[in-house]
Amino acid sequence: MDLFSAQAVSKQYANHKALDKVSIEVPENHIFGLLGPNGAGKTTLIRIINQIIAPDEGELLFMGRKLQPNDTALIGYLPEERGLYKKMTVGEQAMYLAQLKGLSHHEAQKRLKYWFEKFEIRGWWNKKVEELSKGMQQKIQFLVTIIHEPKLLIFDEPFSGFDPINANLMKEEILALKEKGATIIFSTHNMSSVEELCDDIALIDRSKVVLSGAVRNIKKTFKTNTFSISYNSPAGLLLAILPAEFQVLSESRDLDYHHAQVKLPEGATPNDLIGFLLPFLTIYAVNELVPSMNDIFIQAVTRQAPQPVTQD
Amino acid sequence: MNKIFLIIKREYLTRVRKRSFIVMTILGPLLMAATIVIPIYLATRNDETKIIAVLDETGIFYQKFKDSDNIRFHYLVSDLATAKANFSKTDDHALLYIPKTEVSLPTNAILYSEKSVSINVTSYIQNVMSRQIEELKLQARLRELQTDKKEPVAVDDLLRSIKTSVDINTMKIGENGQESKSYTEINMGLGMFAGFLIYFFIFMFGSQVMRGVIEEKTNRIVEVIISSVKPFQLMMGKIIGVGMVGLTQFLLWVILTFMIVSLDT
Repeated sequence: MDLFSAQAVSKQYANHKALDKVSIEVPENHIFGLLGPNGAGKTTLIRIINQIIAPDEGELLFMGRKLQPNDTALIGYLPEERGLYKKMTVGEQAMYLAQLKGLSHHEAQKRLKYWFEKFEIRGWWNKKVEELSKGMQQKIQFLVTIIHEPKLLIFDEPFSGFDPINANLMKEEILALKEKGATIIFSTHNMSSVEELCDDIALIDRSKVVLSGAVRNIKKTFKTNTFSISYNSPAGLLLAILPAEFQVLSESRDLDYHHAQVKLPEGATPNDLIGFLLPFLTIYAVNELVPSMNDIFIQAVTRQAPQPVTQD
Repeated sequence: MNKIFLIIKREYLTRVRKRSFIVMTILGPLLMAATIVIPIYLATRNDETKIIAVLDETGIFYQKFKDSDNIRFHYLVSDLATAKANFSKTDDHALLYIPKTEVSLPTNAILYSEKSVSINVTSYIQNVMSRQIEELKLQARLRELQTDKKEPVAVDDLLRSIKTSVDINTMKIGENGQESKSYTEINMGLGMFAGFLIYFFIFMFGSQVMRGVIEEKTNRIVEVIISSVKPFQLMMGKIIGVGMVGLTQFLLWVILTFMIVSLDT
């Protein structure tokens, strides 16, 4: 079941169409990646989901019914451009934001205590926000975003500004939240984190969804049946051995082996490739080249013909 | 509703705890007290004996003004024009003129002088006059009650019915006997000053609301807050919160000013 879906949502700014009939479906308990180049309309869509701005047309469904103003209590939002009140202490601020999300004073205190201990930041409670580094502030913000245990979490570029250790900590927390049953939408430019975390994606480019679906399926459709092989024979031999349908895309060598990328004809398997080569040379490795999200992203956005893909 | 209250609380507490608020709250009464205390001090400093001529057309205040430490009274029997004309030839500090009234008891008087008259003098005269009039009123009332023999009257009502306030206008007599009214101008000035203060404070606290909005916009926290509460609630909370800060400051100013003034006097 879809926890959230947007149907044909459009938003027009003065002389710029930010969203053009965008539809997305976010299945329950999935991590949904919202991808796209800068200025594609991701943040506009996220703001519409948070009801900060209203769409011109289109419908938003949340838990099977129309999205309502009170649903903000069930949504947690970590904006890309983060900020806190600089003059307030961390504890006061966290209490304030938690209570604005509808937690009682007592409940907010209890949960904050738990999380402050978990993140090992108990000593920050009475510090002013301006005394903290940017990464530390982001930790606080992440914490207040999830404090009311929302059903739907929206993270806009959650890892920017974190060092690798803290970024990993965040990643683990996001996965833990998914374990607990939360549904997560997150927007990012960092494709490796998409591959690590996302179950589904939607790629928005120039105000339109150009690609969407489960990550696995998308990868499958972008596969080109290309393999890389490592072997030990002089260059040029491969072309002589293989039939014409087998395209040799590139050849190279290092100190130990020769390497080549071969695109197989439709219906051919790696076994066929190996069968042709076995009598003539020694094979050390064969790998299927699966396109990375990075490649898929670039391909989808630039709309160029599929190019030779790099090793996964 | 609960969320508006939370916003009000935050807006209020963060502002009240600011150092600038505390400094302003302490400095304000000192300035206010200074504006009240210094003129009084200056007015009372002069302790030479002042002689005041009384021209009482009604006759009811004859010998009622008692000489005090630095005020002496003497009574004239003449008319206003001659008294004024002769005024400059005497050593008198001021000329108190109580005009005749036809129906009711007199409730105003005019104090002519060459220099400005200190507040002590006017308030002393005011006191004596109102006490005398109240006494006369009381006597009249009591006579009335004795003859009418109506139902008893509550003491409070009686006291209220005889309460009298006396207006004293101060006028200056120039060398050539010209008169100029000095009281209304002070009142007008005071009114304008108070009006300016109101304008100033509305402006000041209005700009605090604006600064609050700008702060939230620039540090982007507004997105987080707007995704939890309605913009109306946020704005309302801000306006009420800042308004309450202003009222708190005024209340503290009033209380502290009174405290300082009462300590001084």
